Order: sequence, then structure tokens, then C-alpha cells
Amino acid sequence: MYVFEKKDNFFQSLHPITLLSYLFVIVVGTIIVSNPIILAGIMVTVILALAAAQSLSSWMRSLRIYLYMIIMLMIINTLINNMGATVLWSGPIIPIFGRLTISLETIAFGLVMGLRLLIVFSAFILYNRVMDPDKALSVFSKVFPRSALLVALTTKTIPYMGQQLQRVAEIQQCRGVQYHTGGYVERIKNRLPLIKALLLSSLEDSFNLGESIQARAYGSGPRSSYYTLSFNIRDVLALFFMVASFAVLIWAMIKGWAAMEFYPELGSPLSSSEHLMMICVIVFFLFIPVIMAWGWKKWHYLRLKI
Amino acid sequence: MALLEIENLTYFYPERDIPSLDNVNLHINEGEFVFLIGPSGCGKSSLLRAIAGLLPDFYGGKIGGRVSYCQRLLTRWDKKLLAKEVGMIFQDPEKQIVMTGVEQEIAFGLENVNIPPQEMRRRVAEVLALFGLSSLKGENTFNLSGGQKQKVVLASVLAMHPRVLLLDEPTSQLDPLAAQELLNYVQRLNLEWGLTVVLVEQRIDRCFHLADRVVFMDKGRVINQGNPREIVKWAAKEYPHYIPPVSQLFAGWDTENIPLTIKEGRAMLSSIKPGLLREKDTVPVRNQDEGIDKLKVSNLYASYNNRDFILKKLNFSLFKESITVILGENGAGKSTLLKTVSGLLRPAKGRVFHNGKDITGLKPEQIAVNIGYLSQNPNDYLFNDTVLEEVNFNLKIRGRRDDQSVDRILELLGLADKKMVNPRDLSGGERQRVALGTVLVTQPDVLLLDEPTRGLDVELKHQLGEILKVLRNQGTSILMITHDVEFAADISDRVIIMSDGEIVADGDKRVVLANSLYYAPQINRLFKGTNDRVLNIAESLQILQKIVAKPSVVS
Amino acid sequence: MIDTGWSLYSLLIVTISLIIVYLWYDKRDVSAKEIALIATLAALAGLSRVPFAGIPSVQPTTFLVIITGYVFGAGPGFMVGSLAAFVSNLFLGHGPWTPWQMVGWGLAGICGGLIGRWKPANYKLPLNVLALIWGFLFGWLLNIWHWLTFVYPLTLKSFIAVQLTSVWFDFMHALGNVLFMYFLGPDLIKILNRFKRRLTVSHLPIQEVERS
Ligand SMILES: Nc1ncnc2c1ncn2[C@@H]1O[C@H](COP(=O)(O)OP(=O)(O)OP(=O)(O)O)[C@@H](O)[C@H]1O
Ligand SMILES: Nc1ncnc2c1ncn2[C@@H]1O[C@H](COP(=O)(O)OP(=O)(O)OP(=O)(O)O)[C@@H](O)[C@H]1O
Ligand SMILES: [Mg+2]
Ligand SMILES: [Mg+2]
Repeated sequence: MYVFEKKDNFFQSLHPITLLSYLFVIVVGTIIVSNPIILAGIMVTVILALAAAQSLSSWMRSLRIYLYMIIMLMIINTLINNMGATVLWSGPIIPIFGRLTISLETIAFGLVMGLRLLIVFSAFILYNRVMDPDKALSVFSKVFPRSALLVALTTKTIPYMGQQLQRVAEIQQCRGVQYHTGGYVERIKNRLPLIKALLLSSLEDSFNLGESIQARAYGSGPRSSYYTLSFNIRDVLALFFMVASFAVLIWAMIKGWAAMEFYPELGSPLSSSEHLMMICVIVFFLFIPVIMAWGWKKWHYLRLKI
Repeated sequence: MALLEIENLTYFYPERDIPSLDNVNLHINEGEFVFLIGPSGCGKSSLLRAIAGLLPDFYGGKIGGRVSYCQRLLTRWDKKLLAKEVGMIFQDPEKQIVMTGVEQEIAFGLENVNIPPQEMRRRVAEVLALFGLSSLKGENTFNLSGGQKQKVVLASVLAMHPRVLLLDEPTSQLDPLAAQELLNYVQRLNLEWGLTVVLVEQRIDRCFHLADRVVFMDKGRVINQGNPREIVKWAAKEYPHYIPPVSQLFAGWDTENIPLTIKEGRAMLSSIKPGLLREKDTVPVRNQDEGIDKLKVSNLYASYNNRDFILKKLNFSLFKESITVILGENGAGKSTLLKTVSGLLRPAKGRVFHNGKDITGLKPEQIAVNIGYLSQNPNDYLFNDTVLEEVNFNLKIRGRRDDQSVDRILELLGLADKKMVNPRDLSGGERQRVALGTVLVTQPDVLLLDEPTRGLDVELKHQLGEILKVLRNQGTSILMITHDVEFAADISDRVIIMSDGEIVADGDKRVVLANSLYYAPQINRLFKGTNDRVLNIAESLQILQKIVAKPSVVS
Repeated sequence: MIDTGWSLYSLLIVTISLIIVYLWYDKRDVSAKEIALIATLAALAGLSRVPFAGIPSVQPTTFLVIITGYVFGAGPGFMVGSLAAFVSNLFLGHGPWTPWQMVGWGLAGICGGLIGRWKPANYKLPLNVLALIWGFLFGWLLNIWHWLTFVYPLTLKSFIAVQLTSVWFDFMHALGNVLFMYFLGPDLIKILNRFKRRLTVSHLPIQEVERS
């Protein structure tokens, strides 16, 4: 379990919409692009952004959980596909799947897909570390006032209930329930009373919660919102470059420069110096928030201004 | 005209055929401080809910009679406006907190009534400052202490600028000091803001004299009401346990001028015999330290995170056939101590011995056979379908069966006729006893009880006290946490005071409680200077009778 | 050139349908009691992932969502399921899987609600079957996006291959669901029903007590 930590950095000071847009541009950009150079550029940007958000170490830690998935996808892409021309290894025939082969092209494709998934995961890790759930909720509550309250209530309840769960578990241990011995089914069975006790108590508590909400005038017409988030110059700047980067990306797609040929034979990731220029522009625009974050840390003057 | 008028109010909860409110008539004036008392289950909370407009709306059921506020029936009031005018605080602060952040929690009610952000900011800042919470405004409510949570709850209601404040046992979780602080706030709000207050509270001695009017309820009816002096005179005969100890003492002495506070009581003592308060007299202290060690804790350190020690260098022993009470402020580490002894938390350092045997590293379920541990919240125990199964569970899971002793325990706890009832259908006091029953079935010879008196009224507390005394006389040694000083003074043999993870006092109750700033019971404070060792009414009556002959007015 | 259009479309469809459901819910007049109940059950469903963390892929969330739907109806079932996914990810980490989990558990709640609507004579069997099916369905749903986004070509073969990577986990999930449903289902349904009575009785019109 992890809880959002407030830190003093540029990314956390951005408006939730800006942060969401950043996530959107990175994830969608990654999905529509298969050119490894652009992908590598995005990857570097995300890593540096993670560093700027003081979350590099937690990124490394979280990655381990996702590694299984990334590797499995790379293996599938390498083995299942036999469209590659440069066959390196030809394996046995397996029912349903046909012959397993490994070719240069499928390896390359697997690697690129692994990179893609890595970017998506990393971008979300960045998002989790910099998006304050309270702020996100206050934006969300503009559109969904009731559902936002539901989310807030649930979020508040979870830690309290966690504590209650721990208490109930302790008590049952005292009463003689053993959690760590016995077989698989045994262990599940021993934990069942936990859920039951917790459900009973929390249903009773939900009455109190409802009463408290009602006594504080819930549900009587429109609600106002305590949090007022302002859109600052930094948001406008960052948003501008994100949109610009995305626009150039779309243009590159139309020109066919965002994709790369894998099958039957690997194409070249770079076709011309113009192509290179464009890639640089895309990545640079995307990189601007990271530069701003760096300036934010270095110059207090800049911090006051944007 | 009165601000609040309740006429012939009768109310049935859904699926109930006994009325929880029975023909209640009550008028409350603007700016009045009303103190509502009565036995558990008499309908105090229900009455507050009715005033707050929650009763028919939130609970359904059947209602008759009328409640009006400002000459208008509650049913005619726009709920939003009513909630702005009448604020209610419920018993358990944890269960009524809605938001994660302190600031958002306070703003929640304001958001609901659509206050513009600018105004909201001002009001939030004001109430935060009023309760000295400004430094906590960015905190997560989850991390606050009990007293702080209760203050946040109060602040969040006051931010709505209500004219009437309804408080349902707001101090039941708090240590004596924090409770007093909260009550002081309430009194100040009443005196300085002219806020109308209706207070339900079990700490009778701390509230009685604050009120302009005391309303006494029983079985859903208002039995009597009047200013504290009138009520004290009446209740001294009818419900002697529901008045402050000082009043109880003098009620057997002089029925005309019953004092309500220590100050009045001391004045009265001086008038009975001038100079009495300067004479020294002592009740001899029994020598306690001669028992056999049942449980011995030596040099105990404990921590939840291996960084901050919650318990520091604790040393004490429990003797056979004794009741030891632990007092201490919220967060002092009292519960942590019990958890460590019962094996739920591994001590960082130190040893625990039971009957001379080292039990430090044992699993909780092994320790539980000899050392019964009853946690703070009885609800955490109840998940079986009947009381009998619930109590039997501890034996069943150990593969044992002993119907006789189960029956005996149910008998002792007064639950024999509730055997087949679903424990979740029981009242708070009964649930407490079921939980205690589950602990007793393995026949432990040491009992650790964490705040068993919470939410119990005087009667129930007395019953619990009797049960504990029976257990003690059967040879059990009991270690009990409580915030209720009067109860501690009444039943304990020994008292330990903890503060910030350390034991700061440990000894005979007379030595420890007497002259303590926060933990001295009322009677003891009354006799301060003359006899530092009296703790309860019976003793003090004896002393008084020694000094002056009892006037003949006493019936 | 690899076509990732489907990946975007699927994401779009899922997100938009979630938005529509939540907008619909927001327009309804929800009582304080209902809001507190849904939040509590969602918190419980989300949190109950924790005590079973030691047993891979076994968690009572799916099961709790299904019986919530069964007792309280499809609407609350969906809300509890999707909220549980969303909020527990605040603590476990959001990812591209968040909308899929929200839809997955939401739909499990709806299925529970449908069985509740259908009111079979023996409710245990269909609920157990549902619990089994959702163990696998949930895993498949979560894999779809990975398949659409990161695998080429999009054929049945590759689809099966992707599903195979998680088949062990899905199997454990389904097994856990059935165990929960079998051992705990009747009890919890009884508890929820008992509580539901308290909830709905109170919606009865208020009767004036006759005074003599
Ligand atoms: N939600 C409820 N549903 C049904 N019956 C209830 C409910 N709440 C209270 N009662 C019943 O109504 C009666 C009055 O209860 P109430 O809570 O008002 O008493 P109280 O004086 O506040 O007691 P305590 O001091 O224990 O808090 C009791 O008999 C109780 O069992
Ligand atoms: N499970 C836990 N994890 C971490 N810290 C805890 C835990 N339980 C308690 N603490 C901390 O340990 C300290 C002592 O808590 P404890 O519950 O023992 O106090 P207490 O004396 O029982 O207070 P109260 O009178 O409010 O019950 C507190 O500062 C508390 O925040
Ligand atoms: Mg009450
Ligand atoms: Mg405690």
C-alpha cells in the first residue's frame, strides 16, 4: 500500500488538468507510435520527469511488479509471430499455435513493444506520484458532484477500515484462529470470519456515517467547492508545449514518420534529416515541462513568476 | 416563546413495538444550556436525533406529536436551512468524519449549503483558530489523536454557525483532561456566543453544574426537569447514582442545600465544623505489595515501527486476586501495553512472565489461554449468529467443549436469557459482556481489559464492577484501562498512571489517586487538606460521622 | 505498419461508458444512507484485497461485488464494483488497467443484480457459477487491452497466447471466488439482507401515531 506524499516540486504544483494532459499525450503518443527513436525519446523524458518529481527510486521499486508482464509480452511477440523474414531459430510445432519461430524482426518487434509497455507503466507511476488525489477530486467534482463525494467517502473509509481489519484480526488470533498454518483451503477458511466481522461492523458504521452526512445538510441542492484551483502561467506554458508536441506527432503520423516497418523485413527508423528534425521537435516539446521543473528548483525567481 | 418546542413526541423505530420516545414534552429557550441524563437506552440519543430532524427522515418508523423550531414545525423546515441552524455531534468521532483532510472535513458542511468559496475560507480559518487546530489543517484526519478528532468534529459543525448545538456523549473516548477541555469549549460557546446547547454525557460530575436546566429521562419519557439544584434534590432520592458524587455525599446529610461542586462542598464542610479542612486525618493504607506475582513485566520496550518507542522501560507486577487500573492520557500507550502483554505486539526489548514462566515470544493464541485480553471495541468480537456460539467459539476452535462452564459464565454475565439472540441485536452494554464472555471461557487467571466502561451508564458500570469483583475473588488478577476516575477509585486495588509510554505512578490506589491533579476523584478533592486518602462516599461518610454527629434531618 | 486503432477505440469505449454511467448516477437523487452504504461496501471490497495478499490472486473483491449486486440490485452493484477498483488503485497504483477493472467489477455487480432480479429458487448454484465465470472473465477483460495494444497480429492465436500468460492467476482467482461464495456467500447474503430491511423499512411513509 502506498499513500500519496506531498512534495515540493514543479509537477505537483501543476493543475490536475495539465497533469492529466501530460499523461494523455505520453500514453496515447506511445500507443500510436512505433518508431523506436521516438519511443526512446519519450522514455528518456519520462525517466527525467520522474527524477524531477523525486520519484526515481519508487519507480525502480514499482517496476519489479510489472516486469513479469513486460517480459511475457516480449516473449509472445517473439514466438507467436512467424512473419519475420530473417529466421534465426525454428522450433517445434505446437497445437493451435503452429510452428514456433524466432526471427530478427520478431525480436526487434518484441523489444519495441516491451519499451512501449515500459513507457506506459512508467508514465502511470509518474502520474501516481505527482497527482494529488484531493486536487483531482475537486476537478472531478465540478462534473460529478455526487460521485466525487462517493470517491471521497470511500477513500476516507479505507484506512479506518484497514485499522479495524487489523484489530479484528488480532482479536481472532487471541481467540485461537491460526492464519499461517494449514493448507491452502484451510488458510482461506480461517480468514473468512474476518470478512464477516468486518462486514457486520462496517454496515453498522455506515449508518453513523450517513447520519453525519445528513446532519450536515447533504443532498439539499447544489454544492459549492472549497478547493479552488487556479490555472497558472506554468500550466499554460506546459499545456501549450504538450499540445504542440502532440500536433507535430500527428503530422508525423500522417507523413508516415511515426511508424516503422517490421515485417517482413525491418525498415529503417530514420528516413531523412528532416525526419530526425521532426523527432527532435516532438521529444523536445514533450521535454519542456521537465526543463521547467529543473528551472523551478534552481531559481526562486522563476518560481515566483510562473 | 421557546426556541425549540417538543410536544407529545412519541416515536417508534421501524420494527419495534416499544416506543423509544414516549410522549415527550420539552421546551428549550434560546441560549439555554440543557443537560440531558438518564439510564442507557432511555432515548437520549433518539431525542437529539428528533431535534436535529433526523428521526422520521433518516430512520423511518412511526412518529407522533410535534417538534417545532422557531415556531415552525420541523417537517416544514427546509432541511438545508435546518441543518445550518441545528448542529449535531455524535458519539464516536471516527465514525462521523467524512473527509480525509482536516480542512475538507470542516468545509464539508459549508459546501453542502453552497457557501461561496471566499466566505468558506474565512469560516474555516476562524474555527480552526478557535480550537487551536490551525497547525493541523493540512493533516490527514486519520492521523489525529482522539481529542483532536473530536475537536475537528466540533469545529466542522460550528463552522456552519448553528444556533443550537446538540452533543451526544462527545467525551466518551477522551481522557479526563481532554474531556474537560472539550467541555470548557462547549461552556464558552454557550456563555460567549449565546449558543443553545443540549448535552448528553455520562460524566455527570463534570457537567451537572454547567447546565441551566437538567432534563431527566427514563424509558423514553421525560421524568423530571428543572434547574440543577431542584433536580439534584429530587434525584438524590429517586436516582441517587445520577448526581455528582459530592451531591451524593451531602444528600445523605442535608437534603435542603445539596452542593453541586467541590467549591460548594468545601464551603459546606467548613460551615459544619470550622477549621475541619485543616485537620489532618488519614485512612490507613493497606499494604498491597505482599501478594503473589501473577504477571510480571520487566524492562519492557515496544514500538510499532522500530523507530519510536511507544513503551519505554516498563516494570510492574500483577498480584493474585487484585484489580489494577491503568489511567493515562490518550496516546499514552495503555492499549499498546495490553497488546504487548497479550503477544499481539512483539516487545522490542524486555520480558513478560506469567506465574514465573517466561511467555515473551509465545503466539497470541497460546498466551490467550491463560491471559484473557478484551480489546477496546466489543463489536470487533461479534460475528457468530448467537451469543452461545460466540462464547463457544474460543473453545470450539481449540477443539474443546465445556458446556457447563459456558453456562456458568453466561449466568455470571447476566446473559443466560439472551443465549440464542444474535449478538448484533444487543445493546452496547450487553455486547460488552458477550465479548467479555468470549474471553472468560478459557478460564484465564489474568484478565486484561481495555476500556470496558466506555459508553456504559452508571448502572451498567456498577454491574460490570460487581462482575469484576466476583472474578477477582475467584482468584483472577485483573488489569484494566479506563478513563473513568470514579470507577477506578471504586473498584481498583492498585492504580498505575502512564504518560508518554512510561509508568509515572504505581501503587495503592489511595496513594496514587489522592492529590493527583487530573486523576483525583471528586470526593478526594473535596477532602483535600484534611484527609488525603478518602476515595468514595461510604468512607467519607464515616469520617464525617466521626467528626460531627449526624443531623437528625437525614431520613 | 501496425494498427493500434483498436487499442484507442477500446479505451475510448470503456472510458465513455464509465462516464455515462457516472453521469446517470449523479443525476439521480441519492439518499445519504445509500451514499454511505455504497461507500462503505466499496471500501470493504477494495480493502479486502489486503488480508489475502499472501495468497496470490485470491481476493474476495469479486465475490463481495457480486453479492452486493445480488442483494442491493444492479445499480449499487456496479457502483460498488467500479468504486472499489478506482479507490483501491489510489493505494495500489493507477494504471491503464484502472478503467478495465472498473468496468470488470462493475459488470460483475450488474450480473449479481440480474440474478437477484431473476430470483431463482436455489440461488446458491447460479451465484457459484457466476463467481467461477467472473474469475476468468475478469482476467480476460484486463488482458484485452494489452493484446490490442502490444501484440501483432491480432489473431485468435495471439489472443489465446496472451490469455495463457495469466491463466494460472485467473484460475486461482476463480477458485478463490467459488470458495468464498461457497463458504461465506449464504452468511453474508443473510447479513446484507438483514441490513437491507433496516434500510428499506425506513423508506416507508411516516405514519402518525394515534393519540388517545
Ligand atoms: N436504529 C435503531 N433501530 C431500532 N431501535 C433503536 C435504534 N436506535 C435506538 N434504538 C432503541 O431505542 C431505544 C432508545 O435508544 P437511544 O439510543 O435513544 O438511547 P440512549 O438513551 O441514547 O442510550 P445510550 O445511553 O446507551 O446511548 C433503545 O431501546 C434502543 O434499543
Ligand atoms: N497500530 C499502530 N501502528 C502505529 N502506531 C500506533 C498503532 N497503534 C497505536 N499507535 C500509536 O501508539 C501510541 C499509543 O497508542 P495507544 O493506543 O497505546 O494509546 P492509549 O493510551 O491506549 O490511548 P487511548 O486512551 O486513546 O486509547 C499513539 O501515539 C498511537 O498513535
Ligand atoms: Mg445514546
Ligand atoms: Mg487505548
